[in-house]
Amino acid sequence: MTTYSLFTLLMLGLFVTGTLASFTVMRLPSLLRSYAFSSVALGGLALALAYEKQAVHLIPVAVAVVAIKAFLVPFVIRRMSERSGASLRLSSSLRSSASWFVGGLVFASGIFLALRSPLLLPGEGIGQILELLPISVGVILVGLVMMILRRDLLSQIVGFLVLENGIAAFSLSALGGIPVAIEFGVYSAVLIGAILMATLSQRVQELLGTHDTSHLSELTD
Amino acid sequence: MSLFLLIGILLLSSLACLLPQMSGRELRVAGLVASLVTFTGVAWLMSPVLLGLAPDWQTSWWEVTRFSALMGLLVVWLYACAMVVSFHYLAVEERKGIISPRQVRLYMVSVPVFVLSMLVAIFANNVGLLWVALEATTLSTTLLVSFYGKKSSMEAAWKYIVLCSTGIALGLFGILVLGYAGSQVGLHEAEAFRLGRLMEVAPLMNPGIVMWAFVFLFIGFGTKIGFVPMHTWLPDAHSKTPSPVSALLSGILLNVAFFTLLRFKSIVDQTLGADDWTNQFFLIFGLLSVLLPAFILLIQRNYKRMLAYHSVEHMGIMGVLVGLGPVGMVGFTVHMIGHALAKSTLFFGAGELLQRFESTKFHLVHDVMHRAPRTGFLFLIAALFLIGVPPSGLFLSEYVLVGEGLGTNPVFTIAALLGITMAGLGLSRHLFELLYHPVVPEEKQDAPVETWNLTHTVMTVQLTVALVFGVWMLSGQGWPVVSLISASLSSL
Repeated sequence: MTTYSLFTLLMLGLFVTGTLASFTVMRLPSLLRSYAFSSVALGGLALALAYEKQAVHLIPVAVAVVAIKAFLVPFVIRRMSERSGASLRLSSSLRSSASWFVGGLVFASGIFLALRSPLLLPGEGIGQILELLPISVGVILVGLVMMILRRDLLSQIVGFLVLENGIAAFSLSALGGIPVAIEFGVYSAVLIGAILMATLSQRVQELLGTHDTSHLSELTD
Repeated sequence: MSLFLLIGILLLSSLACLLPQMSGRELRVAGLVASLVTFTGVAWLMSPVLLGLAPDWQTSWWEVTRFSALMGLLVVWLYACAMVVSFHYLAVEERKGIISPRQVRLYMVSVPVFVLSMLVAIFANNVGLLWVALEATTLSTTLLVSFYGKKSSMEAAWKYIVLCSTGIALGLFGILVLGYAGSQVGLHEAEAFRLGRLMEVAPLMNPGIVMWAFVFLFIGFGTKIGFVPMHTWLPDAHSKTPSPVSALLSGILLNVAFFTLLRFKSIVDQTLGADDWTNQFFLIFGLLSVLLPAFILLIQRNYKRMLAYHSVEHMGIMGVLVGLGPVGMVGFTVHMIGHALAKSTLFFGAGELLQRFESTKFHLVHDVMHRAPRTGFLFLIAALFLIGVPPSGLFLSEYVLVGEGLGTNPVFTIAALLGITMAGLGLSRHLFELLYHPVVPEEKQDAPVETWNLTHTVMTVQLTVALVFGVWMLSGQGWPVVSLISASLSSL
């Protein structure tokens, strides 16, 4: 096994572990750390791909992934929650002990779905990190289920970001990245979206004294 | 080049409103001038294309067709109308102390960015750019949903940004899967994101992968359109924004999202060699979107939410029309124009009612025909247009739905017709209570005497345009023209 393969494998492992940890942990600092780890791994995978395909344009993409997702977004969310005095304890419909099991099951379902889909046709691989393709579908599903099961605004923001990480991983695996201008457009949208969500959660915290979504149930028919 | 000039005008207008020394009135004037300049620019650029006097054109980033020219014109028309109404609406709110100059600034910074995003989404030939623009429509309006800072506004804004962003993210996944299918037939990285190139290689792409892509595109953009069951954010968000913004959200943003989905549908239909498979999605989700609001409208208690649910229902009607094939597509185009004009007029009227009676609840607003006769009369006419009373263009589109649908999908059509009738009855029931029911002790008694204002002028102009359009369509003269415009959207 070459150093390159080892590095890719390590990044894949870190990406999956970071994602599953995000699904499971119930305190804000740990949640943001887990998300940051998985984002660093995503940046590492972009670097690995840049090396494999000699694609220089993926290097700034990798740097942007790490800078925005691993540092900037967690920093903004942390800062906003501190300013509003939000509790660091998060809430979920699942018990902590069941979370690992459910997270693993959801992730495995995503992989199974991808393997059964026409996305991985035999002999039609186009030379990127092929293991990442089913993994990315699993991560998307984990992010989606996390947004449904978590009952606080901050966790839902991170759930959305996990889902977006899965999509970014899919773009790396299936397409070898997307044009740089579009990539930066997407990251800007994600960054602005995360800031807006964090701003809203701060206002909700100030208004209601909690960021539990069960208190947001005034609008009914 | 001209498109970049328009983008520059809108960005400049937004940035200019950030200047701290501008007063509330100056901000409103800046917003109004920017909208009128944008309207003139887009009308000058797009009218020749729409009328067939200039050919369609495309570059690697932009594509202008007769249909996109129509969409662009609708956007800037409603933008100009909304900014004229906003000029009056925000002045009243500022005078009453409901909003501060800071909020007027937020409004005038956000709306041009929102309109710019819609125009970019319409004219983009690059799917990545299209996605970023569509997401920007959500981001630029989120703070307008939470504009009044109440608990319910926060709830609406949260649902709006989370559900729409998640939906659009799934749409991005669909775009990437489509690009993957393109890359497998030889498109390189940049080409796999160009709609024109994807359309060219569509017959060669793997149908299985393309079908997968469409499922995600439908869920993603369907969320933004407000198809049931992805619609839950829509009644909350559209009822919580300031009324001129509600008019833009309901009147045109939903159409823009629909248009983008139809552009992807064309590619998928090319790959599959037929439109039956994609049409099923529009028929099923369209029917659901007609039926659910039909029931909710019967028990609705809030007139802004009622109008928002009507938007869900009309997106459903448009979905069913798309599912009926080429003739349905002509009906879709007619319905889109008619709905945009009638719904925005109703939201402008709803803003007027809210400012006068200080409530959006039906049980707190009565006898509008006597207490605010100008608004009441215009509101009534717009509502009749919305439920398809001739000479409304919506009468023709719903006639197409029944006529075309009974032959091909009788069960769907009868169910849709039932839903449309129920929704119409629901609207009429609430409307007559609002307009003619005697005042009750709980409601505001001392509403000031109504005088003619800018909002009434805009509502009258909108209804005149809707009337002329309806008569033109019903006379049969408009059908060939609209057929040509809608044909520019289909690939088969």
